[in-house]
Amino acid sequence: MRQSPMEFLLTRLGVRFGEAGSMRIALSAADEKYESSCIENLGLADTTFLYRIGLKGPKAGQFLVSLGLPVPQEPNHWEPLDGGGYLMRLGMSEFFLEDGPSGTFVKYISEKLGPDGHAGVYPVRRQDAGMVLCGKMQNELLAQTCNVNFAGMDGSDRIVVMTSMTGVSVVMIQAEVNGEPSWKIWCDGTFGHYLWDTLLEIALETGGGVIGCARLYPELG
Amino acid sequence: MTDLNNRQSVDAALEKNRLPRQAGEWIERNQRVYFTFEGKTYGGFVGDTVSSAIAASGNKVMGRSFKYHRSRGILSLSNHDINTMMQDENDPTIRADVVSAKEGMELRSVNTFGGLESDRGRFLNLFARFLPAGFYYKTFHTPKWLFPMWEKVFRTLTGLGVVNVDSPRIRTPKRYDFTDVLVIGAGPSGLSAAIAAAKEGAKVVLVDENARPGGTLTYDHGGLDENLELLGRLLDEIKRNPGIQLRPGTVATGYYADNWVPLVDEVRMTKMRAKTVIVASGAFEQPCVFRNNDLPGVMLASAAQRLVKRYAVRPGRNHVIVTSNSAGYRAALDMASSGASIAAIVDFRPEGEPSTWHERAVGLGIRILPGYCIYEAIPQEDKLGVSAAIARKLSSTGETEESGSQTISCDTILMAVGYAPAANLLYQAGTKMRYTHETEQFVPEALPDNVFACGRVNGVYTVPAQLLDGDRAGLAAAEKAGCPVSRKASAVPAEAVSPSHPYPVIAHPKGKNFVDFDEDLHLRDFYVSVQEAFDNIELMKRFTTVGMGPSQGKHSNMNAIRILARLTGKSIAEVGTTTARPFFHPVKLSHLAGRGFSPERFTPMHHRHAELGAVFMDAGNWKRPEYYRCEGMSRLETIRMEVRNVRTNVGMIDVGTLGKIEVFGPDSVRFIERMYTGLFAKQAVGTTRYALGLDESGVIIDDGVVGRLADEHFFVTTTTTGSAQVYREMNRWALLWGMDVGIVNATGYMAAMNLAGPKSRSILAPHCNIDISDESVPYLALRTCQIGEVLARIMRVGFVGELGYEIHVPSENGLYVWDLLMKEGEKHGIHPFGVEAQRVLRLEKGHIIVSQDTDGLTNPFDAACGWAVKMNKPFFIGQRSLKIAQNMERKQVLAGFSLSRGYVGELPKESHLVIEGGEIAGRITSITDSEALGRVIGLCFVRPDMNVIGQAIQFRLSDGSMVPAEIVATPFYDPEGLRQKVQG
Repeated sequence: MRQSPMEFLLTRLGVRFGEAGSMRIALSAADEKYESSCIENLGLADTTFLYRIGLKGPKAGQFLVSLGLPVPQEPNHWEPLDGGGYLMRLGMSEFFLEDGPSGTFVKYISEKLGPDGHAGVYPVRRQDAGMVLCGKMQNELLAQTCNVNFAGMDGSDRIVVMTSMTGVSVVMIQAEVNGEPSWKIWCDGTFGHYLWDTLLEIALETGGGVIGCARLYPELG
Repeated sequence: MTDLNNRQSVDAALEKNRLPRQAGEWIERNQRVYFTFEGKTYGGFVGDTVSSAIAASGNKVMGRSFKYHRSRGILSLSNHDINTMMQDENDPTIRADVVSAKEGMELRSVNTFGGLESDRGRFLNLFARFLPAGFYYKTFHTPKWLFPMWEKVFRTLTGLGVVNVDSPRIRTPKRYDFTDVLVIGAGPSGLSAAIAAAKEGAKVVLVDENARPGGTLTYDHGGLDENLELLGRLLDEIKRNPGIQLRPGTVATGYYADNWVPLVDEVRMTKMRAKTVIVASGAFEQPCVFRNNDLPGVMLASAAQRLVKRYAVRPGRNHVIVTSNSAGYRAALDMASSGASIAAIVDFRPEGEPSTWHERAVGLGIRILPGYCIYEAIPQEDKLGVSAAIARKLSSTGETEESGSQTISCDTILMAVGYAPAANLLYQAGTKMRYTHETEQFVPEALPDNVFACGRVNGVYTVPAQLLDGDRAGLAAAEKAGCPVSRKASAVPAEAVSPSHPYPVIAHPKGKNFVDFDEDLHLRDFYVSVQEAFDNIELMKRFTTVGMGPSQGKHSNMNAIRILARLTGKSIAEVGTTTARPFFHPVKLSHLAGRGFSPERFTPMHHRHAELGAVFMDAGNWKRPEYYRCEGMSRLETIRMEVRNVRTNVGMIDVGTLGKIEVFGPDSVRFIERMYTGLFAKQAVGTTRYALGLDESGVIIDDGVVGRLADEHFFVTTTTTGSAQVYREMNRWALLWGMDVGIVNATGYMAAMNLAGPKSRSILAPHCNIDISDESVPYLALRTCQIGEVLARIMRVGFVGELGYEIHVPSENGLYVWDLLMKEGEKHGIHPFGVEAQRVLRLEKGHIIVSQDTDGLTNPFDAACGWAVKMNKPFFIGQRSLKIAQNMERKQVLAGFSLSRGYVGELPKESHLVIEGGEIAGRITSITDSEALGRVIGLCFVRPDMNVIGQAIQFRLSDGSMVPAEIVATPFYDPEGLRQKVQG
């Protein structure tokens, strides 16, 4: 019932599909041998199937703390969540949360907030396109698409980067996914097709390509 | 390409001027390349440039000049002039001085008529005296009717390479990069600066436009090996230091704010951001101005040295060097060491060269003429080279003296009379420059923060001083970049002797003493400019076009400034320089274009639309179906069918591109009241209202619908193109008003579709978990429900004038819901409809489209939307301006019009004018041929006095013919609005 903005493009690439989070997902690339080299070199995965939600409002941080979540103290930082998710602080009063494949925080918060939110806590029903970029050439791809000095960043600082990539506004964090140093990238879903297509074009030129979600989340395979 | 036999036969001939192996040469003698130039085969080595390979064959003529088509040869051998510009099938601007000779190249000269040797344009040289600078300002104006012919003639005569519009598109990726210290120029000072900065811990990127680093150390040797040894040591140090990234073949082409520097190499442009920038870009050697100084065989001394030392090519066999500095002597020594004979060193300075270079030259028996200049170069009979130089003594006032004139046989004249700093990047960075007589050049007086200069561009010429100057700049740049510096820099000694002559310009009654080689400007042209009162540097530049050619004045601007100063009696500082803008060096369009990033937005149903035959159109950065192609039907027929189906049956349109904003919070009602012109305070939960948004001047900027989901939760829609602006403005105003509201842009989060037509309820009802009868969901109602398993918001709106439901669902469920309703609709004859059908439908209802039926001055009263404005509210944006506008005489109002039923003929179009009494009285904003109404209808602006039902008006078509129409009431279709309120 849910659909990724990149599903059409993935179909065209002949990936092996499965299902997760009520969404058809690319479990693996058409050529699994090449996929293995992409993990090493430059891999791009569609992780839109993961559930996510945003919160806005002066009491949003307080609300998340009350739920026992690890809320970043400063804007533009993130904290990991149980189940492989992330809680990102986008501003003083704005948060973005993505569950891991087995996470349940989004559902829980969504139910708690209801459609109209609480006083001072407003739900943002985020529908981002989600992607993961991994491999040793990831900085080369980023250098061609974005004017942020990623090479100078340290993943352990848990910084949230909000910038423009190929002309599209994105939120990015540097994190390990299944032990692979990666960049997680989110953009407005309506730009997902364009961003994916553009990144993949560069990735292919750089000796990379599509990787399936099972490479990142083996439990899906 | 050339066959093997041909290659073998040409090899010997083509190496006529190739020297034995030179220390530090750049060519790979074991790897041959062959190419053709003007149909003739040339051979060279890997590492040769096109120019050096051609020069190795003894051929000196490589181009024709722009205006007079004079023969031209190597001038700078450094990509700083266009004497040797060539073209191939795809590239019209091949700079042969620096482009590597490659196997299979097929090159020809630019700007010739019939080839380089037999160029028919060369006869223009005979008419040179009739074609002074600015001649086209005063001629060809009359008779007027001849001007098109002249224009054609000049368009044919001018231009350089020919652009092949069928050239394959080259994709050159751009990339961003970052560093602590960017050093521009890898000559002695740049190398020294990079080493100093890196030793202090800075990350350094060192770029140089040449194929290899070293700058003058690679060629300016004075017959000794010291500089090469020094270069070896410096490069070893660079290689050992992992903090330095050396990028040869890379040009820093401009400087932008915050230390953004575009670096252009062969394959891409890198946008480099550096914490600090060191400009060690050196200086452009300047030509001496004397008659026939443009003949092939007359070149800059540094060009000759580069030919010898980098490419092992002999520039000629018998040289005259005209100089005013030590570099001329070193060039003479370098030529002598290559086996060439030196006919004379002609030194402008009566006192001659004070350094030991003089002694060395004398020691080799070289004849020196101190206090002399070259008055004229004597061409060979075929005008393709030099046969002699006429040297004349200079008087104490700098005039040439006829007595004592000497004619010196030679085939090459080398010019070493001074430099102009390559300070373009410094100027662009905002450096304040000053002219100093110590070096007779402009040097930095005040540099911007984070920008440093060293070496020749800083007025430092001797190698030991350049090393110190680079070291100083490197330390300072590293420190500024945040690296703790461990030591202090040593003082840099001042230049003992000026490397540049203050006026290396020799007048000649017969002219052809060129100042600008790009534009064929000789000294007389500058006299004319001043006579015509174009006597400041910017005006002179425009009048003469000096510095406006492809080399952008690199070899002409400084001499032009000196000439202007002399002619006007001003100092050089008073004359000043022209403005240096990026890019200071040519950049190929393929590099500028790079990989195109033009973000496109797709709704979740995009690919389904494509499968349904959608023809897409752009709406901002969205792709929207304009209509859905039907087999055997024209575009117009298809759109009419889509309209008809909505009116009589049911259709569905993707309206996910509409802006969607959620407003939460205790102040949300007050906030909406202020943002829009209507009344919302008492709006019931579960209802929608039309919303008209104005700017502070009362001009309509957007419209949409405000739906109230809860007491403190509103859902607002905006126009497709207005969503970002409205969201931004809402946030701005919320902040300014200090309101407790949460604003969420849900445009991308929600898919939306409008199910419209008499059968729409029948399609939606079976899949909706609530009763959607007219009683439960009346016109203008808003409900939250489930469609299938998806949480949805439905709004009963009537933009197209039929029973209809605007359905909003999460984006990721958009396709599911669309497919569900389309499947259900099959039995009801549903057909998707596109933007064009929607435009017709809404126009029949008389609904405006903001920015089509309004413009940047239209207020609600002009647009006949006064009904949507509640002036008695305490406040809304634009209210104050509207209060003033209410009392002002209106200039235009939006009115409905209709052509007569059965009108046959060309239809007027949007923006065709309303003409009344021969005057413009308005314009059409929307028009359509309505099948439902059986006539052409539309909206137009007219004078208020013409806005009377039944008033006859007329439109003027593009061909001037008039079409009669009359003002009619709106809505045109279903004026009572019964159809959208119909109980289905």
